[in-house]
Amino acid sequence: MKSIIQQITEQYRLSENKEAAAVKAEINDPKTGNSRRNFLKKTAMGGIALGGLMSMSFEDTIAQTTSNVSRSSSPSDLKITDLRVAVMGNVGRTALIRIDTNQGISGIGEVRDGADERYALMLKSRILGLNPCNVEMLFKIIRQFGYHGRQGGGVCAVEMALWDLCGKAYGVPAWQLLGGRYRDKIRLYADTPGARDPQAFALTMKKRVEEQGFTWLKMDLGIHVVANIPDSLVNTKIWDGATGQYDLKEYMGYGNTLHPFTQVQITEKGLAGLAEYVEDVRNAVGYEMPLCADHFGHFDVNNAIRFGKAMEKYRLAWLEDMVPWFYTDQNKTLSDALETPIATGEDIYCLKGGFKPLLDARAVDVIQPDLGTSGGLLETKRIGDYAEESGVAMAMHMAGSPVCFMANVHCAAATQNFLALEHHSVDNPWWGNLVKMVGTKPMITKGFANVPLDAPGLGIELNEDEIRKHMNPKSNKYFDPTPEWDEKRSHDRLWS
Amino acid sequence: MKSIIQRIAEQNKIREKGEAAALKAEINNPATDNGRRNFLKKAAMGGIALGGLMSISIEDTIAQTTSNVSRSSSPSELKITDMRYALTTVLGGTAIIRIDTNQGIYGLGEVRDGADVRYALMLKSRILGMNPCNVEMIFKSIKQFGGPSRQAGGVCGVEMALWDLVGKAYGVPAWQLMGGRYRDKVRLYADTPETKSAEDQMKLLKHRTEVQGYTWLKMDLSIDELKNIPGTLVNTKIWEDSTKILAQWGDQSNYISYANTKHPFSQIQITEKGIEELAKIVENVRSLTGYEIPLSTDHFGHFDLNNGIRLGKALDKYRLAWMEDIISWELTDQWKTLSDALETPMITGEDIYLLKNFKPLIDLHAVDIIHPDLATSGGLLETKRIGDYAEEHGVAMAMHQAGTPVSFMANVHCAAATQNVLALEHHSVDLTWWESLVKTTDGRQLITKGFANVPLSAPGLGIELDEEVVKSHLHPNDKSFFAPTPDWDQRRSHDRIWS
Repeated sequence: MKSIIQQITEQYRLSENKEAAAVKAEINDPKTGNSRRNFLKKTAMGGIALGGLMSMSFEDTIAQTTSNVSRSSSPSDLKITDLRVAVMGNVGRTALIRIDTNQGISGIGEVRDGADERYALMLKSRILGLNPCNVEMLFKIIRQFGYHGRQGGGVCAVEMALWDLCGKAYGVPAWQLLGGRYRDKIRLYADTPGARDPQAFALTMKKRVEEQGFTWLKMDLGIHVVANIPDSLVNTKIWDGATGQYDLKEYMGYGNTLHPFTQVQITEKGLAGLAEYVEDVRNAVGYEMPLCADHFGHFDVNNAIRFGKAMEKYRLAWLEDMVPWFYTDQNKTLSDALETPIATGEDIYCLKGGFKPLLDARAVDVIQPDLGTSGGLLETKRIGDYAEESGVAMAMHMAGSPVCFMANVHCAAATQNFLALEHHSVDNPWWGNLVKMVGTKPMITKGFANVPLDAPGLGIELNEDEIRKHMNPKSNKYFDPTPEWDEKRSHDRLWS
Repeated sequence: MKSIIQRIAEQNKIREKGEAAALKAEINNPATDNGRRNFLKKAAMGGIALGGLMSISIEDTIAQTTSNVSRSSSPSELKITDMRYALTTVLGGTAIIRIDTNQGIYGLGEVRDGADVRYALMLKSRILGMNPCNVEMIFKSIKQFGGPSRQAGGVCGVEMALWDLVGKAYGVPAWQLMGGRYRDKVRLYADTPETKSAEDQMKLLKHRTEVQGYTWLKMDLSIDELKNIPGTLVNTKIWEDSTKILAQWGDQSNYISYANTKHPFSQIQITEKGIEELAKIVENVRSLTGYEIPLSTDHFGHFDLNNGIRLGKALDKYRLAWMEDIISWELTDQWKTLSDALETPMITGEDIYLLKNFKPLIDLHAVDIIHPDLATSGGLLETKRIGDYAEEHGVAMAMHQAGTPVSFMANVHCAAATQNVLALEHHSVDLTWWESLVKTTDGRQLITKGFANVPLSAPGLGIELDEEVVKSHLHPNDKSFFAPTPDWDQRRSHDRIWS
């Protein structure tokens, strides 16, 4: 036994000497960059052995000695040196961000779809020079710049990129930095286009289920479905037919008018028309398949209750955003009146001041944060955990690129009460090609996203060629320098 | 009687004809620009008489027929065409913004001192093309972009500029658009100058009150003043910076510096001796100023409410006007504890955005006085709403201000229109060129002996910029002077915060 140990020790010493010599050679080579040289000097000092790491920090000592951890950077010396953007078009304006460091590694993130990239650029001056591994502290510094809807986009983009960076610095997947994983694959849900034409619809559903492998579907179920059937709706003329939910040009138009203020009503005939529509969908997909519904239109809670009651028999997975999320009381009224799950959340920023009131009041059955608005990976996991304690499940809203998608995958892996993650670009042939997977598994396999087990950070690299094909025509710079955002021009403290 | 009426009608008809002819001449004159020409065409249609205004809106009909109202613009056709700025050096960087229209009139506003002018520029794309007279609607559409402290600077700057514009469009002072005024002059408060020698301080204080005429003073009372006296403070070493100062506004790039550590988390304590020393400072000032003059205190430092209460009790006898920001504004429960424990008024508010966020403090009566900064609280209308709500709950309002004469005047109009206003801060009393940044449009003096004059007839905010003076005080980092801002024309975000 003793001789075996002696043998192993001797072999170890020989390999150490070799490594030390190689490191010394690299240090002395004039071609070696300065930061690399500093790093190598640190590792060479005393040799790469348990006794010889006295000059390094605790984290680096651990990183060094546990030989499975990548040594490609010295995490405690890491500093943010830049933040750049590339604005592409997908579902909407989609800005990718890249945070660079002094050690040649970068983190990628994404601003919420449909948001101004300047929401992220404004944060650059607040994070330059800081160590990106202190994700929580940096989040707290920039948090005040986020808000509901697209306004959370900048903060969340930075947060995602920081986890990517931190993961790369230590060679650890993002889900592991959140406390570990509950699952190896993430259930996805997809939309169901074309329900108006039963035959075409049946074909699309066959594709969705059998070919693409989705196990959860979502349908649009709005008053627009019955808008052309006479006597289905009350008071729509003044709202130009009440079909323009997304037309925000006029401040006083239907698109900008909150649900209680339109006083549109749905008649019995209208409800019958809507029920027939859902019946057709159920006939095509069956009942085993969870089927949720969204985009109802802007009508009040009374009509929402009547609508919901007419849908009860179809056992829909959830009714989404039937009343605005910030009317806690109305959500509670709706929830109590119906036996179908009520869901909301894609516009809510953070737990405090956002999801908390709804959860404390037990006003919804399912929350559906969009990680590009809710606060990033860590905050969204916190939201999920708080919901779990309140007995509420969590689905995830997503209409971004694979960057945001993967951020969601890691968060979903690490959050127990996760149900399903939206994939909004199912029929987009080039969407998946925007990134390359770093690990061994493909991004998606038959309706499930694969949790990267062997890739650090978010587990992806950008595919520059593909991204360049889809840049925003007016803002088409691919990660060009952004020096006008280097300086902080404001006092940030929110108290005196 | 009948003949008098007939005579008046006849005179009116003759005058009208004369005006119509003049109008026609101006319309035909190639030098007249398009916006003005369109307006004139409308006015000429049918003549300027009660019967002949069928083609214009009711506001314009009223405006036309009540001949005392300025006809310099057709308010219902007003549209915002641009937003530009100039960054002054006042208080570390304070941007004045200008909102231009299609009728040649413009409104002036100001971004909160120390705030990034881009907070306002971000709003440009949301307001272009809109009618600036619909102030409330525009405020509601940009409100979501504001936040506490400097983050509301853009929203408030735009709001101020809109009132200036509406006022100019109708020839009405801003306070009148708030519902009327309670006062003709607004009481100001100023800081107490600090010098090394007691004699000099006496001279300066006398100058403040007797020559400059201030009737309300505010002094700094910071624990940092105890640093050289041993035995006065507990646990300060860990918070001192490299020059051994407890720097309240110090290293803010260090997230866990003293400057960024909120009051409950420093665990600095003041000893009996420390409290005595601080009381001595106040005693000294009171001996110089007497008791008649209200004396407020601020900038205490970052220690918790327990120490705040002990200090407050020791200062009780000096009948201070208020103790400001002893702890951070959002700690409602702690404010209530402080308020209940002390018989000196408690005050906070300069970083609070919107009535919604003042409500918890007011509803609980957790403070005696609120202290909004109009360039953060939400602009003129929202700040009046805040004052009115406070009034209903028996809470007074003072106004924090540390900007240029632009936001100063916005405050003056709001203060004129809000009953429970006590005093408005003038933070730049000793800055000799500060007042000359603007010219009053009605020839009044901006300030007379410690009181701001409420403009009784000047439209809007009642000021114009003195371009030469502003140009000579531009910030070294950005010396552009109302240069074009086309980068901000386009909206690049979906703004609705609900689905």
